[in-house]
Order: sequence, then structure tokens, then C-alpha cells
Amino acid sequence: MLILSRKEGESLILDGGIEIKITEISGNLVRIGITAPSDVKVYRKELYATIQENQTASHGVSADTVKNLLLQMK
Amino acid sequence: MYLRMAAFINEQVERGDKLMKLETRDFGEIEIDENETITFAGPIFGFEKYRKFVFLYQESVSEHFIWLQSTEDPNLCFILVNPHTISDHYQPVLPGDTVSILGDGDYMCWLMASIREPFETSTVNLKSPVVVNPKLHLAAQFILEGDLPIRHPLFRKEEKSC
Repeated sequence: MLILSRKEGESLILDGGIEIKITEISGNLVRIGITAPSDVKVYRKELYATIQENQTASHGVSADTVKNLLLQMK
Repeated sequence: MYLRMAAFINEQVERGDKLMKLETRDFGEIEIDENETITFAGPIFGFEKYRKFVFLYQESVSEHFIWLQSTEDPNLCFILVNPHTISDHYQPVLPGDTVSILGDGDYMCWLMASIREPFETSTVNLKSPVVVNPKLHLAAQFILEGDLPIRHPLFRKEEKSC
């Protein structure tokens, strides 16, 4: 992982078109401003991970498979 | 009856006046009462357009495992697990705006399961539980603060060893 130090008000540029700016640092909270083309999707990581996991969860194996698994757990 | 509406929902409902057929992913066509549906006041993340579900369980399996079946898309179904089957120590701290989403009442918490084969690799999501207010027939998925795993083994470790 690349690690850089930035002060309040300073920015990073990713890939020429995406700006990530540290807008405020206060206690243990950092506020970040992101300027990016409209087709770039930005997620909080925990939300992104939850969406991915919900996708996985929706890909059901068959009802019998699930039932067998759950019976094993009893 | 082989397939049942989850009791915690069912006992709140006068059944019979709004019966409808529902095509399900795992059980074919079943009959439900429209009053038995649950509305997701906060979305299942990534599935924002689907808001109406029924909670089903099989008596022959356990009422601790719920089929969360969409009433809008027969192919959309999730498996929910009672947290107590995983851990005695799971006590989710819900976000401050929970009451404004789900209303007052005694909430129930369910974990979204990802069933995989082999079974031992199946997991539950402790980070993002589904929370239900049975009284108002409302539900929402919440992302909790703190270091909770999105993929926690469905099988208890101590059971694995025996």
C-alpha cells in the first residue's frame, strides 16, 4: 500500500482525473472531498463490501442443499 | 403445514382477507396473505428496488433459519439466520436513526447468510444485519460501527472439531 502524508486542504490526484482532498481533520475524524467524473462510483468500503456480500447471498444454492446444511447445524 | 410464515410475523396478522399466490425461488407457488409481507423501510444494500418480502421457514428445518423471499421477483431470495445459533455474544448496537426508520417496538435481528459448497465455507454477515420490527412489519439492513466480520463462519468452531 502506498502511504502519503497530507495536511488539511491538500489533495491527491488519481489517474489524472480524480481529486481526493482532505477538507477537515478533527479528532479521529477526517473529512474527504472527492471530485471525479460522473461515471466513477464512490462507496464507503463497508457499504461496498456489504453490497458484494448481499450479491453472493442472493445466489442461492438449491432449497434442498440449504435444507441439508441447516439440518446439519441443528 | 410444511412451509410456514415465520411465527413472529404470523401472530400479528389476521389471515384470510387478502390471500394471493406467490411464486417463490425454492418452494414453487405458495399462498400468502398480503398482510404478511414485510416492507424494507431501509434497503437491502445493492437491492434498493426490492422492498416487499415474506419471511418463510420450514418446520422440518428450524424456525431459526428464514427464507427472505421477495414478493416482487420470484428469483430473489436470501437465507437469514438467527444470531443466537452463531454466538451468544452478538449484541448489535444499532445506529441512532433506527427508530426513525423502523418505528418503536421490539426489534428482531437476523444475519444474512452466504451458503457455499462445501458447507463449511458458508458464512454469515455480522457487520450488516437485517433488523425487523414485527409490530409494524418493517425491516431494514444496517451497517454497524466497529470491527465486525462480513464473512463469519456459519458453523460454530466448537462444532467443527467434534
